[in-house]
Amino acid sequence: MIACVMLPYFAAEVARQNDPILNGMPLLLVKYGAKRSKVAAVSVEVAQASVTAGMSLSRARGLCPTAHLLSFDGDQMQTACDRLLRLLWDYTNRIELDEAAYPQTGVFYLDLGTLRDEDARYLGDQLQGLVQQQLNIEVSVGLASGKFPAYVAAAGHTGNVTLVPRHQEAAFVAPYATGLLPASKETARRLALLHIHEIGQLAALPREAVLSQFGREGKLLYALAQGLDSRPVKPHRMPETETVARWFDDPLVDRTRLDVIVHHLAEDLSLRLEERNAALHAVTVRIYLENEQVRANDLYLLRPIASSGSIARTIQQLIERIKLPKGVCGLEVCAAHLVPNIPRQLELFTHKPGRAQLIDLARVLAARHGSCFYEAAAEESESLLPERRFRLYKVDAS
Amino acid sequence: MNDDPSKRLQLTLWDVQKRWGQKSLDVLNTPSSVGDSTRISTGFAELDQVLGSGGIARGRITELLGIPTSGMTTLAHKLTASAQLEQGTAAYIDLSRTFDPDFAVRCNVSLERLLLVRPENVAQALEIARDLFKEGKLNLVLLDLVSASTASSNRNLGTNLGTMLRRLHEPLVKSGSAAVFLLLAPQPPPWQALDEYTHTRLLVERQTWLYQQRDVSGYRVQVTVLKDKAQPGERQVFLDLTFDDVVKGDGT
Repeated sequence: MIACVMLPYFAAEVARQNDPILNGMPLLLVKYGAKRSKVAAVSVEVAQASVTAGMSLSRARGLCPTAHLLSFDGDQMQTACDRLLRLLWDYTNRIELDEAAYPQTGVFYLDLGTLRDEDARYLGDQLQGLVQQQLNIEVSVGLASGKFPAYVAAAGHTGNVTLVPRHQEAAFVAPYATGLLPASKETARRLALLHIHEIGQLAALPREAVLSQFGREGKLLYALAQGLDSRPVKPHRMPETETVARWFDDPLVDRTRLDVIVHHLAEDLSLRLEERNAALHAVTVRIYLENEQVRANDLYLLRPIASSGSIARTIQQLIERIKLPKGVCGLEVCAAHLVPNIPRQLELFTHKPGRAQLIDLARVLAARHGSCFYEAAAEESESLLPERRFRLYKVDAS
Repeated sequence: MNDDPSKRLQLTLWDVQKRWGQKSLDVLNTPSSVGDSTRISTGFAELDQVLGSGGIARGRITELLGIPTSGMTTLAHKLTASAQLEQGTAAYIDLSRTFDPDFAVRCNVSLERLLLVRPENVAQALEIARDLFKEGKLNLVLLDLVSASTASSNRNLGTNLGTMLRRLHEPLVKSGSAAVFLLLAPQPPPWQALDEYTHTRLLVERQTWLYQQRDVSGYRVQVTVLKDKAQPGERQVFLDLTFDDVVKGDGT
């Protein structure tokens, strides 16, 4: 059973949540570029004026002059998306984010495995309730045997939980517009020219006719129109991070106390990394000041670290670079780019011959500097031609 | 209160080492700091004698200056062979792309214990050398920069070379490896930045061909010690290099 969790106008809703003044205003989220600015996402009011994501800013402003322009904040959107993914993680680890619809619409496919219809509906209700409660955004959930019928169910019944009964997928999707099909621009244009406006019309055509007209894309669209979608859910890989934080009722002004807290945070982080058998490459420190300002600094380390002492030193270095004009209300440390913590064998216990050591060394350095390391070996030692007596072999990182 | 100066020195040494670490202070006459292990023989007894303490210094940079066919590469190979004694390992950073394994073997170099590196440019060569000093327990790292020391290839080096050499020097000193730079004589302008770090500079010049009846059997080279931090003053030595199956050398 596949569940499609859909959050329409996702980016606009997230922007509104972060700044309540924007509530009720027609929003146009813009990705400003050096030459051309594009619409990244729109709110429902602007969408009603036929403005769509990907449109040029000048055209969008022409269609909706009253729209309030807002710079698209990718980090803010990513944070909201990660939060949502973590919520859905409780149900399954097979979650796919529909990149094509993002960030205008948040579409998440969840593979819930084999379920009875009643159980699926119960889970759908739970999902909807949880997301609505946590994010305060209208959510619709579609449940079906495949991704496409589930998507149609979610898109067609906004704010509801809709279950597509098994073996009735074709009949369910038939009355919906062909615009819901994942068709390319050209195919969508040709479908309109052929007066095929509903999915059912496409499904009624002979398969060969659709294939000869639309080729490989037609094959997929025809199967989807029949309610058959065997495309698997491609699990979204969560960025591996570890975050530790401390919040203070009374703002901290004493540097010594801050240093003590840094050591505690470093120990916490080190323990968590130890549990995951990981070491960190990147550290981000965020300091929340009493005047509600946030100061951040980050560092990418060439060599990964995992010990509490090294982490504490790195955090202290980062804090030293931040000006702290006010008291500190909170301190957050985020470890990113986690890599497996592989201990290095001490040379004391290795008894490799010189050649093996050299080859090992060459492999390590080849990974860093590229394939410019060679070993020479005797080839035809009796040959009269000196160039045939020895041969150079490249040493690769692998 | 202990009146014996040597005991007082020992106590002070322990105190300092306890507080600041074992490497913070060392007495120079301990066997670990001075002795044969701090030098690598050049493979020529006379040259070793001229160099004062028996070869080139470990943890320091030695320059070999010369023109092609001067005998500079032969001397470098003899040094490599000497560094490979007692299962030692060495690396040859061949920026000139002229490394000849057959000739190296004839100079007693063990290819089994030699890593050949062919980097793209001087910067990469110095970065790799730095990593070799940091990561590897090599006795000798030889940088053949003859082609890189021509005027045209030096244009882009500029002031970066000084920075790169500074970055290279610290791991070199800690590693205990010897670094040998093969450069074209006379030393081109950007490479004068090397002056600050060079411990020993040897100029190799071919003097005469040696004949066995009518055949050329070898040549005589003059090695001039232009700089030696251990022993001041210019000194010279003549070495006879012969082309047998094994390249031999005799000093005069």
